[in-house]
Amino acid sequence: MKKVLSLILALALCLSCFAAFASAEGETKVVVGLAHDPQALGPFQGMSAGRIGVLYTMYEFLVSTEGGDMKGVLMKDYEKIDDLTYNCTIYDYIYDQAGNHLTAADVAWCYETAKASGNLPKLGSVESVEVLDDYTVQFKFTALAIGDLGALWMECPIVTRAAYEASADQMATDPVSTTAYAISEYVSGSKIVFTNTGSYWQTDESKTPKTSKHNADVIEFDIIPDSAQLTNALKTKSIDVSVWLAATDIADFEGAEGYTVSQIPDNVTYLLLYNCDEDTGIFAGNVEARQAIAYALDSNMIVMGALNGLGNAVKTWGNTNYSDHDAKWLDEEYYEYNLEKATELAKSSGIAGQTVKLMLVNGAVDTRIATVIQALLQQIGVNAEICVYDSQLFNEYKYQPNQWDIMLDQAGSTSYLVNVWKLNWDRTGYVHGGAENFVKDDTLQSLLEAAMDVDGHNAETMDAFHQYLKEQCYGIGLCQQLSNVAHTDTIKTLATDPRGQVTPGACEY
Amino acid sequence: MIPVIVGIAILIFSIMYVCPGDPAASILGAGATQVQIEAKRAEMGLNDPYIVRLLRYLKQTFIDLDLGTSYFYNTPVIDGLLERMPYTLIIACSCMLLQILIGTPLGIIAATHRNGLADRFCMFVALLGVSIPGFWLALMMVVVFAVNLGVLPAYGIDSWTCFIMPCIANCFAGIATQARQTRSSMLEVIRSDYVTTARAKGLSEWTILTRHILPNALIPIITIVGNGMGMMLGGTVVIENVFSIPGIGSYMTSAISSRDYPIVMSGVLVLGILFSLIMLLVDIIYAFVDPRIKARYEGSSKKKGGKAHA
Repeated sequence: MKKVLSLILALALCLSCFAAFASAEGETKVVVGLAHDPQALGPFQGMSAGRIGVLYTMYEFLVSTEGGDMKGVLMKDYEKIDDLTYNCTIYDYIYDQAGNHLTAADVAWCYETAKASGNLPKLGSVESVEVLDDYTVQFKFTALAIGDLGALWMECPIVTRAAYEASADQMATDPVSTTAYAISEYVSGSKIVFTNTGSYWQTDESKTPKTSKHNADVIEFDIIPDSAQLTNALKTKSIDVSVWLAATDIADFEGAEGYTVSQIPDNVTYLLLYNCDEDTGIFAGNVEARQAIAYALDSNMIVMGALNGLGNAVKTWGNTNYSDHDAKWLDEEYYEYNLEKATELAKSSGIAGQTVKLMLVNGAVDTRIATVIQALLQQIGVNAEICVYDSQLFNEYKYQPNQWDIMLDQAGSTSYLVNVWKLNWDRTGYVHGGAENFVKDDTLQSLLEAAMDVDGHNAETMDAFHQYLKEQCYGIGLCQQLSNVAHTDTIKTLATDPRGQVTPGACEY
Repeated sequence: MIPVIVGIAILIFSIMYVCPGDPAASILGAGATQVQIEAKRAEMGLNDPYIVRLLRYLKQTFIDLDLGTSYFYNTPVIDGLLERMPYTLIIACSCMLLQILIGTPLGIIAATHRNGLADRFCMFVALLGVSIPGFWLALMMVVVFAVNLGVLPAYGIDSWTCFIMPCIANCFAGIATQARQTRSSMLEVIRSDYVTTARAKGLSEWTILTRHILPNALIPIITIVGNGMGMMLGGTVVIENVFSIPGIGSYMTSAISSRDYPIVMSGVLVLGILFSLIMLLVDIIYAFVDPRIKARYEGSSKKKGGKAHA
């Protein structure tokens, strides 16, 4: 029996060694671990946690952003006609992987198809896309806030109509795009392998943005839903990198031979909202109660206790990653931890002794943050009942005022801080007519609209909104997590996209 | 079988209908506003009344013979199931084989050496099998064989070696159940009068075991095997997730968490049909194994034949 077992194990060892050698013949191959399945690969699918991981390897867009600035990818240039009309010119030498020539007609068709699919909600503000000539299209928008132009031009993947119509399944399994990488192997729910075609249309390196770089020959995305297995995969070097590793496992790779831990900025901020629904919200019309909670929370303690110190306390509704974040806010008082004041406010507001429902989405970090919040609120006599839901339930319940009193949420943007504010406080996005926390404050809305306006977006309008939100305390920013990404030394320099995902083609090997 | 299948379809539709969660919100992602989500719900027909949606689903499934298209994969559900079925079948069949080849002899040894050292050892192994959670065993095996020894891959489907750990981790509990069931079935039969008679006739222990005990103890063992096979076809959810195997289990669980109704409803329906077929097969095997059941069938068919002739 021992001999048989030894033979089997030896055979397995030989086979795995052979497999390793077979894949290492002079080509630069990188394996990226994904915690979520990208599911359908078609260009006009909705965004998901899995899809953002492969997005820029799979498709190109009109533009991309680098350091907050818009940079053309397929777009050569653009011209403003009026506040809501822009002409966009693309390069005249773009070809997809099937050899189809990409023209303005394809761009217009992509936007129309994507809009009709209803899967890309941002495109709702695109009124029309008209072809002016072979390489120029005219975009007409119904409304444009600051940052919207870039966001809309990097929302819709561009493919040729000919390639899309040649696909039997709307490119759900066989996307043909203009990137340098074509899919060479796809096993749904398991892995996607991209191979450098060697015939990328943009030969001028200076005009190739980071998201379109192609430094690796083969990029393999392995889908590994189990968190412990992601760590094991990196330990066995079956994968080279993953942004989905548990923060607590990063320590295993710090200082370990053959591994590097790189820190990448995370544009997402943890935020706390108070239910201000006029009928059911216990915080409606009670600014003292809201402030009591705010003073009772110690963001630095949350960073240490829930994020293992890998984060920063924030001082506005968002973090410092955005170009329109005002540095002076960092020196201001922003509900610093003050137990005495919190206790006093809790008593005077009547919130002391009450039980509040703290709703959050399930996740290790979120749950740890909620646990710290629960302990801190206990000190002022507020009993927080933690209600953890999966993302589906969370997204349903957050619109129901009777489901929560305090909500732990996350928000981020690929452009400006004001777009983070827009996500949570713009009343036009909600059926109930209030902001995300149901508050109906006309002053808040007008200040937000002023800060969102393309011409009015400046330090003053930003500060006005920030100060008013802080004063009314409808919600508070808690902390920003710093993402530490462990990777093998195969990757010399790690590159990430505007969403904080690894861009394997742009990494240096 | 037809009423069972229609019943399954109505039941799973009703469960998904009352289940909270919104596929429209999931499709549009975190950046969508409530207004946009409501528009998408209307477009997908999710705001229609229960009876309208149920009838639409039943018509599509049983009249149009269309199992639907996944909201998120954007591919026909039947294609998704067929694509993933081989991986689940590999694990299910391997596990059943191991379960039968290891669990049954363990149970026989335990029963024939009742209260002896062999019995205690076999039952200790069986106790371990039912006590150790599959995911824990799987992770421990990964730590030992993949991370520390580096002899087996930690995850994936690239080669047959990828299936060694999933199969062992998955079948350990099955082996234990099989051994325990075999032992108790065997013990019941061993005490029977006809076994005592066989011994009195001077037959060898091997003949008594193979000719008299085992055939009579097989019915509960076959039931366990049939049930186990049916359940494993439904997907070895935990094992598939741990080892990143794109089988039916991971397909269904990811569909449940993202509220991909077509996958969940059609998946359950297809698995219900498969389970029914396996149970039918088990009933047929009963007839082959147990002459009494066979005789009952033969008797009833002869009666029918006789009446027809009369």
